[in-house]
Amino acid sequence: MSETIELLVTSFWPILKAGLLITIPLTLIAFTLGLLIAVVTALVRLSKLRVLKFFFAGYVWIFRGTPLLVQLFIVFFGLPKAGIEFSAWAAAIITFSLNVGAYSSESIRSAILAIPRGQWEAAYSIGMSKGMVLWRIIAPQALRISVPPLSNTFIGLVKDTSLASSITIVEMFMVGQQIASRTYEPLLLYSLVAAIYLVFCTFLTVLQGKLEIATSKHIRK
Amino acid sequence: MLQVKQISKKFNEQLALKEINLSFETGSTTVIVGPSGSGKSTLLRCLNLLEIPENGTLSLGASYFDFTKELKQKDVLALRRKTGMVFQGFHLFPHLTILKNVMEGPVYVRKESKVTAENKARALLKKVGLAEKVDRYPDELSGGQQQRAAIARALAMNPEFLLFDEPTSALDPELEAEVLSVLRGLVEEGNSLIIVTHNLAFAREVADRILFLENGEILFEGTPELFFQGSGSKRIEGFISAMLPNK
Repeated sequence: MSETIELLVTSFWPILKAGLLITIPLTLIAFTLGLLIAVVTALVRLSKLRVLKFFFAGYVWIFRGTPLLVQLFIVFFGLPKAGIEFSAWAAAIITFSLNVGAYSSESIRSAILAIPRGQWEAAYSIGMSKGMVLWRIIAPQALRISVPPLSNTFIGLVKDTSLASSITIVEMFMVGQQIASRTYEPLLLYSLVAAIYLVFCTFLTVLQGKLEIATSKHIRK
Repeated sequence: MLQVKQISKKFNEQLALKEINLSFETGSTTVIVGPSGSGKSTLLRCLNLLEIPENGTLSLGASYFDFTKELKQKDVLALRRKTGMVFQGFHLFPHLTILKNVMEGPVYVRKESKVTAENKARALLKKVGLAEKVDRYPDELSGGQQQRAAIARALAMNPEFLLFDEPTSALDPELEAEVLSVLRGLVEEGNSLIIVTHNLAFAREVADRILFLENGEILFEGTPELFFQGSGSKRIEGFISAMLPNK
């Protein structure tokens, strides 16, 4: 029993450290970039730019329709064959951002579409330009609607970063795996890894709740 | 003066407006009536270019549009700034307080200072009887209060013409009365109003001129007296007796 506790204690820090140094920064960078991509994608797909619309729809189609793991492999192991080489980190950030961007663009697009037409018309009727309507009237309302689905994607991404282990990034799961193979304690180690992911995601769930409250002040309970 | 000539509007090959010619005098109140689907709302929405007609011209002051040509976005925005619109469904901005709703246009479209805009917004909200509600969100107000706030929002842009698209159709009679009393005040002040409504009693009371629309055409244009007493049209008499059974 004491050996079990000792193993948990000694493994905890290396795994958490990988979480703090790899999992969290990778998630934050990829999610931020992914959101930017998603906003642009959603706006283009709602616009009248026919050629661009087609291009962005194709992007969403490909990144939602193929496995994330396969995308990682193509970018990291495949593209060098075509003369395009990335470091493992760059490959991970590019792939995760594009993947998150594809999913989140649909959350944002649906949130914008959910705002009643009357809001656009009321804003147009006081002389606002389309950009101003989007920024001042539609975005604040769409933000509230998109918090839950974007939180889904964010939380999903935290866990999906474990796939980065397959392209040589020593993140939390990889550290747990290394210790497990050395100590022959897979149940303990993988449970520990799972518990740390759960803690991270719990934090995000709380954050989601706060964001929902902050963006819903005007809604009568 | 706001003037339209020969404007037509189609929806899915269905003509909603047929070559309408109209002018609206500054300082007068025009009330547009007619059965549902007659094109009243479409006509009103064409006046501030929420709908763009396929044909004809529109002029208001320095603004002139020929709808057979491509419109410049800048000109469209300029016209909309000169015409305020009040909708059947209010369409207040739900994420902003009533005060911010009224300030939105002056601050972000007219680029007025926030202090100037706030003072004006407070004065307008007081005028429509909402001085106590300035910090409330639309969702916290009754329909009548929301519609009065929406009127204040339209007034805040100092429009040359105020357009009302069935402003009381979503309200029960008690709330309708409070909105109509605000409208009466605007009529008495000599604003230029164009009101689409089903309330014929109110039309008779405030209109300088009544337009009767059916199937996208103007069947009657004239004073309320003439409309209610001697239009000589069986169709209009039938409409009036159906809408005002106790006349």
